[in-house]
Amino acid sequence: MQLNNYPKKILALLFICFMAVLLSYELYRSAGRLFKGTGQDHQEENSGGEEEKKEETEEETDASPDAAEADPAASEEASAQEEELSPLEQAMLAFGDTVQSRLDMRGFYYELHMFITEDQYIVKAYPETTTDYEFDQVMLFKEFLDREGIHFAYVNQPTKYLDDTYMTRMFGVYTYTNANADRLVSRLRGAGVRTLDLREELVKDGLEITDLFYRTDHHWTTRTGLWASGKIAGILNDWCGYSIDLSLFDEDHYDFTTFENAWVGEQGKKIGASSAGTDDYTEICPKDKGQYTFYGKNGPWQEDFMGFINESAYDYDGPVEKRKSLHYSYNMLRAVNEKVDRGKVLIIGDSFSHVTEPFLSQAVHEIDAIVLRGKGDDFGLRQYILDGGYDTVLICYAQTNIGAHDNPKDANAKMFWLDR
Amino acid sequence: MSFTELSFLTIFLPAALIGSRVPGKQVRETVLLLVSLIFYSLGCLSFLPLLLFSVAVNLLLGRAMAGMEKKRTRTLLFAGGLVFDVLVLAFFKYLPYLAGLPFLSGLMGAGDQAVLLPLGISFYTFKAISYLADIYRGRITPQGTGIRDALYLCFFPQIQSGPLARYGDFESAPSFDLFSEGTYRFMTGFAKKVLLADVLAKITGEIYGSPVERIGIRFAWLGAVCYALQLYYDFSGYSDMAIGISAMLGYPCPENFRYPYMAASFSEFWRRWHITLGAWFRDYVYIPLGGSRVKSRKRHLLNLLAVWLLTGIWHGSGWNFLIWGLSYFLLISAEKLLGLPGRIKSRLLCLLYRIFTLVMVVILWVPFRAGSPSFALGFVHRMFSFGSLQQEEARALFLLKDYWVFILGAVFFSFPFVPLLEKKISSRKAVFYLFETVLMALTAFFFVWGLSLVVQGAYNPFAYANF
Repeated sequence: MQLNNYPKKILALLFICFMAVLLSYELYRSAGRLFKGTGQDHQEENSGGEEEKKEETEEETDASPDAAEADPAASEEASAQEEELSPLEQAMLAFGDTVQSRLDMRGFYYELHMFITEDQYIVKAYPETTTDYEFDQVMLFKEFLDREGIHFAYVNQPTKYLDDTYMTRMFGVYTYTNANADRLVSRLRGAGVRTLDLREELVKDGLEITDLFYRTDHHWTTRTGLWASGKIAGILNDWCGYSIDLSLFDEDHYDFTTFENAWVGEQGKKIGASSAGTDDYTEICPKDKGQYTFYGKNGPWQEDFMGFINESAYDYDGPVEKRKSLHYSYNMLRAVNEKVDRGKVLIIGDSFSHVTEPFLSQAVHEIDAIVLRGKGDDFGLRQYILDGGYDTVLICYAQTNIGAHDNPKDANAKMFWLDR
Repeated sequence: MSFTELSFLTIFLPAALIGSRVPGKQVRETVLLLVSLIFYSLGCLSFLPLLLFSVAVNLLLGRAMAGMEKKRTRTLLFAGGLVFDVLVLAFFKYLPYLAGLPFLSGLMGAGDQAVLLPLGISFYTFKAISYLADIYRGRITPQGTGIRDALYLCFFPQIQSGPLARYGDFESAPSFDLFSEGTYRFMTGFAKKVLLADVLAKITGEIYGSPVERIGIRFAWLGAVCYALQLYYDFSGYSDMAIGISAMLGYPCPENFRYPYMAASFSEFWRRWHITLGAWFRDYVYIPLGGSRVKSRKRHLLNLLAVWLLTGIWHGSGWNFLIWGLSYFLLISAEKLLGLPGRIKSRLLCLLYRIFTLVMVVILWVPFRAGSPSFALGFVHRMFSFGSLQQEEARALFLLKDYWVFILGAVFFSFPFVPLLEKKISSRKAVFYLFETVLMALTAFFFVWGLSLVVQGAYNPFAYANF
């Protein structure tokens, strides 16, 4: 006689209850959207009312050649979607994260080209490129600047590891970001382009690469940004005739405020907080905050160094994994330093420049930073430079931008489009 | 719309289950027919008219045949229906491939236009053919207003990927026992698809995406085995979900998989893998051609060739599917000619033959996944090229380390441990209930885990092909 399978029937009843909860929540959410409007509309209203100093900087995530990411619109959409997650869905996400981290699935995100080391340091693999496009564009750009008598230097900013074989040893994958950077830097120097490779500088200074970056984000830390700013100021002196007091970038001249376990970086968000862990965040402000005129969408305003920093980003009580990127609490702004009387610098940068341009602003009269991937196809870079009257142009790129052009869909594909 | 999508789980399925509870059999069938058409529209609205047209033609022909006394007219009607169904299938499934062939593209003027494949066309067309054939043979008689017949052809749990149920077995028999069995099957199938198939797909995606010259022996075997498991769990998982949903709606559904990797021979493999397709070809191609009950061995082989050619091209229009079908023709023909494995008396040789069968099945799945015949050949060659490449060896070890739980789980559940154990303890009440409780708890756990991955994939705009 076949036994009555009561456990199976109980499972069926639980399934019915589960379906009922899911359906009820979906109906409730749909009704809410219908009568109240979406959370996204509300969010857009808030964005419109924010202060002028919240620059429209494009959020750059990884320079992935597979490029579904790194689109600010997608990033905002993701944030809005996250806010709509039901408690049940949030619980699901947390559950999945936990199981995967317990199983130590460090390569689970291969499709995102991301891997987690044993100490929860997220790294990414990058494909090989010839660097022909990047080299040609930089050379054409240099020719233009030389004709106009404008100083030019290229700054190579490192990624989270200095040795490509590191990824091969750890995960059995090939990555070429350092090889690509070596190739481009060598070609640029050979062609007479003044090139600062920050990888060389950090080795000289005895720094450990893993200490310079966030564990869960592809960006370098604020402290690293300050260090890099000092190195960039050095080349402004050596190559561009500036006389910057480099002690300006010594840590003694700054106040440090650290928020521990404050956020999950963009890489961490993609793979889930349980697997990724969290990062600390340090706000760095000069003791002498100076006096600036900032230029925003709604016109100029006067403020000290704090005009670069959006401290409202620190007012947050929600789950750490949902917090927006703290890296962007420093803004890239056009700024005139009222206390310095010479130097007009344009940084053609990327999101790493959020934590270099503000510090460099202390050393020059006027500084501006643009990110080419956020500019339309009709943007005239050369005219912009001429109109701005800059005496120095720096390209400060994370080396992960090298090769992005090989994939037209990559959000960073236009970063080396300098010939315009 | 896929059974593993959030919108299906949170809205469509609950709504369908509620709809299936309306009183009155005819009303229920009408509601389910509407639900099925909505399901189809959500997945493939542009081809809904084709589905409706196909259903209408087959229903009309079926009814005309059923009421026809004259055999000649019935035969003409049946032939007409068969030609209609085959032409529709051939047009959508094979014309784009034929148009892409260099020597035909100019003739056919295909240009860059691709004809999209209507959702489920292979399945509902085969169901339609079996419907007409069974009416022609007098095995079934269409009854009522035709709603049930239309529902049979459009039934949403089965329309995308089967199983190929028969009209004669398509009878509503709702009960809570059936519903609870359906729930279990659905959750099991969901976990198989999301937790095993989709995770194994990450491994096979990476391995099959590598240039063939960078694939060493370990990498190749890992890819081949993982793909064999991925395909099994993907298809059987989907079948389990289809069977589960059908049962929840009150319609028992035939089994489609029976632990195929346990097969002792190639013939047995195809009695365990995609069972309803094998049965369809047996009943509607092989047996009508004479099957094995023909006078000459040559005729028998030709019948087998016909079945396996059709099986190959049913799976896809590329050369790789044709080669795959022909390979099975050769293997099965050899078995029949040599009387294998029945003639093997030694247990050791039987075991070796079983292992040989499994290895060949794994190898023969390679053309399915390979992007081209040359890649497939290169890949299989790599499976037997000793002397590994260092980097690939490191990667293969890393993949094993990262995914060992899933690979082990996939291998474990490809054996019938659970049903065997259930059968063994079925007479011992306390043990049975304890076992079932643990099994149901694990099922729920894996279902929730799978659901978390679906949620993760749905709300991660940065993920590609994620679940």
